[in-house]
Amino acid sequence: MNAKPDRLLGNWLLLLAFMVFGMAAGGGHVRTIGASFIMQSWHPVTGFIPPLNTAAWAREFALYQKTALYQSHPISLAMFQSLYWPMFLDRCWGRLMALVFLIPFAWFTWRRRLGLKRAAWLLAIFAAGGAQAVFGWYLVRTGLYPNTLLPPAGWAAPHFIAAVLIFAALLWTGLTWRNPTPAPLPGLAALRGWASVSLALLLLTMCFGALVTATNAITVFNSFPLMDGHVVPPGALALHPLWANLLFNQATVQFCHRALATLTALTVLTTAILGLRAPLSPGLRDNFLILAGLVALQYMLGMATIVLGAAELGYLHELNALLLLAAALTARHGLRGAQSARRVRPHMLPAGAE
Amino acid sequence: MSDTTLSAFPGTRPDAASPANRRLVALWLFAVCFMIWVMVGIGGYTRDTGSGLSIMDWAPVSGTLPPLSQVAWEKLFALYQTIPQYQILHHGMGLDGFKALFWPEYIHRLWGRLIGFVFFVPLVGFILTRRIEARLIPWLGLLFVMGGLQGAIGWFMVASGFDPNSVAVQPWRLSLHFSAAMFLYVSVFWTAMTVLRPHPARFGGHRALKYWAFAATVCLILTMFAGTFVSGTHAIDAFNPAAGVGVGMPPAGYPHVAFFSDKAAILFNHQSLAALTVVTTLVTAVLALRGNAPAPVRDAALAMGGFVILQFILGVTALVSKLLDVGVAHQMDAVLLLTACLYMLHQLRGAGR
Repeated sequence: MNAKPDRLLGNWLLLLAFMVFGMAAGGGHVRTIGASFIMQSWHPVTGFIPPLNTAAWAREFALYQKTALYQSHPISLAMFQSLYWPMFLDRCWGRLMALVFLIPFAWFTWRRRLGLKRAAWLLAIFAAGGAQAVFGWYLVRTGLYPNTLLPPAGWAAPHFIAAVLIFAALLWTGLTWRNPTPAPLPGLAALRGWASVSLALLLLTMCFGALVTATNAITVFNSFPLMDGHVVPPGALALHPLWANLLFNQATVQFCHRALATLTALTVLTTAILGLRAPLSPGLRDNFLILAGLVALQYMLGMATIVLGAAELGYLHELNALLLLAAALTARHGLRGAQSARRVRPHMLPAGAE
Repeated sequence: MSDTTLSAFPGTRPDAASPANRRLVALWLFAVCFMIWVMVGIGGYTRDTGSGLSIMDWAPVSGTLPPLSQVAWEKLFALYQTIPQYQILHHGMGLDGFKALFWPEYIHRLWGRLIGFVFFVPLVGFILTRRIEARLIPWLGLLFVMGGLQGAIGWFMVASGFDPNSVAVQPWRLSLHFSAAMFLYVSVFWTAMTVLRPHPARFGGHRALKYWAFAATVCLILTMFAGTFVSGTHAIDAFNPAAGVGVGMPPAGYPHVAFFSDKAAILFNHQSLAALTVVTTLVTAVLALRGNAPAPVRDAALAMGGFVILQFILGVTALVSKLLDVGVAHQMDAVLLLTACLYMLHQLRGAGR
């Protein structure tokens, strides 16, 4: 890359990435308390104003009363209000993110600090965020479908995965803008390969984790390491067509998440051990330590979640997954300059050196 | 260099402390350590399958051979039928059932004899060919005697399982048996390391690391000791999250309870100590990896960190699944973790001077 380091631009994107993490925390909380369908209205601009009087509350409550969830599990107005606020705050947080994006974006564009390529890339990320908001709204509207008490898996899982990808894009871009030209790290190409594989496996495991949540698979097979005495659960191929099992079958989805999680944990730990044995800068070394700690914590949280069948722990497990992904991404980013030892030697050594 | 050159000439007396000889002796002792580690696995399996009481006599020499005829099997089985475990747990069991109980205990004892053999024969060989330093001979002789004593402790433990109304051995004797095994393991491993590197490499700093590593090792040994009672009393049976047993809270009345026989208290002791061990071990590992410790210390730190995480996961898994094989793996990983701690302590001998 040609660019010079721009810490301010980079830090701005890291702040936005952190805000996406906050968004995931808010959204996960809403889902965990069962408030996904609570706000059946969306006013993209004026929605930051909450219901201010009894009539406004009554209007919002009436909209919610049309959902299948309300009709099967009626709640009082007071209960409605207490479930309403988390969802409301999560949406406000989304609007705040848009402001934290748009205002600096306008300023930087005006000061010609961004350049066309960077501006286009940022607009693409912003568009993805906007699309995510629209998608989220249609997810909420599935509450009006008959017999739909939870957001359907086909809506909930992509919503989370899209948030993860936006988070990863902001983080990677922010890190790159802070440090566009990586220092060469001779002999660490293999480690970089391990970091890439770790990252890919983490994303794949998180996809199945999202499906475990979305299909509510936490309610079945609450045992570890076996699934109610089975290595492969019975009924793992019960749905037709066959591919549907990978998306909608609680047993299959949970099995894939468990198997991938074990593979991922072993791969990430190997990567961390290789990283901690390599000659790295103190910053990157600490990055690998954090990576090892977070992956161990993540595995234990996952075990505890499934054994206890506790959705609250699953929520922590989900947030820690994002932190773990961030650690893996940062480690991989720090290794951009890795070169294979063989290729690099002639360039690295001064003339006449042994 | 000159040592090895000299000893290569026939008729020259080899220097017992030459690097080549020390490597040879260390390799032999590491092999013994490996065999003890396998023994821990076999012993754990014997314990978990409840087959420790299947051989009713102790014949250190003639017991090497298993029953070879139908008559011999019948005789042994008849003997087993006289003990309470048979009457209470296995009444009406056939000869095939007895054989399934017999083999793990038999292999455990056979492996013990094999360790004694692998320890004794090379020891004599090294003494005769003067490949071992004289100062080591009394110490290793003592360890050999203690190995024999460990066999006797094992029998002392098994004998307690024949008491009236008893279906298992007394937990404190099991604890003694495992603790003696660990004493032997630590002694042989430390001796091997010291033979390999008699003079500690001196380096500055890392005093705090040394204390942390020592604290982690002490915590680990206490946790392992507490773990022997979990195994000995099958305290895992008391695990019941709904009743709050085994989830980290002290049982009612704690600590004014039967410390070494109340299952809930035993679980709590092991778990609290385990948590303490995880914390001290991880702190030690992080300190070693973040402070520029020498490469072997860093590798020990990585091994400690990895094994302690694995150990915690295995422990929780054994608890929630009640799968005995996981318990065996947990027991074997404890020895690996102990090895990593000892390796770090040995590498840190020259620290902080």
